[in-house]
Amino acid sequence: MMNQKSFDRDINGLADVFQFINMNLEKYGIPQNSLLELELTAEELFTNMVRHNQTSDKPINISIGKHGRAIRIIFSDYSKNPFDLTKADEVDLDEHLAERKSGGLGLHLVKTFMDEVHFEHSDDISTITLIKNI
Amino acid sequence: MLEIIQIEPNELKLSGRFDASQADSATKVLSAQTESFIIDMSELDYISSMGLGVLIMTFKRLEESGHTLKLKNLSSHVRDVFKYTKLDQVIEII
Repeated sequence: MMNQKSFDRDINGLADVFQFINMNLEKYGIPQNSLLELELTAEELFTNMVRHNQTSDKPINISIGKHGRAIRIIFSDYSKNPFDLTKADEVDLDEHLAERKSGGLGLHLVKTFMDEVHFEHSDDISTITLIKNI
Repeated sequence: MLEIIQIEPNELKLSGRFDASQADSATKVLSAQTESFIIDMSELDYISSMGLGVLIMTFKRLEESGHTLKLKNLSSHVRDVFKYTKLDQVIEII
């Protein structure tokens, strides 16, 4: 079963996002590091949507659930300019860090910490599905 | 919530969670540091890319003026984040 909640487009609402994730996952006894990786991934996607999707003032929907070993988190956001993070260029960490840049590290961490990341866009809704096996 | 306290003349301690909502306030505190300093991260439970960005910006600013930023006592999660972004090869961890 997936539980869903809508969140205002506000970075200061991150605490509510973390609370929603924890509230839904605490019953599964997930290892602390895996829980922190799920929180980090949720933060990276939520803040990307808030900061970079200028085509929406609607709330961001987050659904979460567990199926077998897989924790599944789904982000849905109204967007006229979809950004498919699965097709974004891999950041060249060596070159990036030599120049002391930090952009792109968030998506790199999302792809590192999740087992699967899927993107769909239809009817002006971008949907990102994250799967982490525990 | 992120707490930043000065524990030595050249050492700060970060406690709590360094997420995007804390980036502005952390930037204000860290930008006041103009000499080499160390950050004790033993009580920092969580860091995201926005937190990393503030640390990279601080490191770069100090490096350009001939100073250093060093980190110590990273938790398991924070150490993983530094390892996977290769930041542990840029900012010295003591």
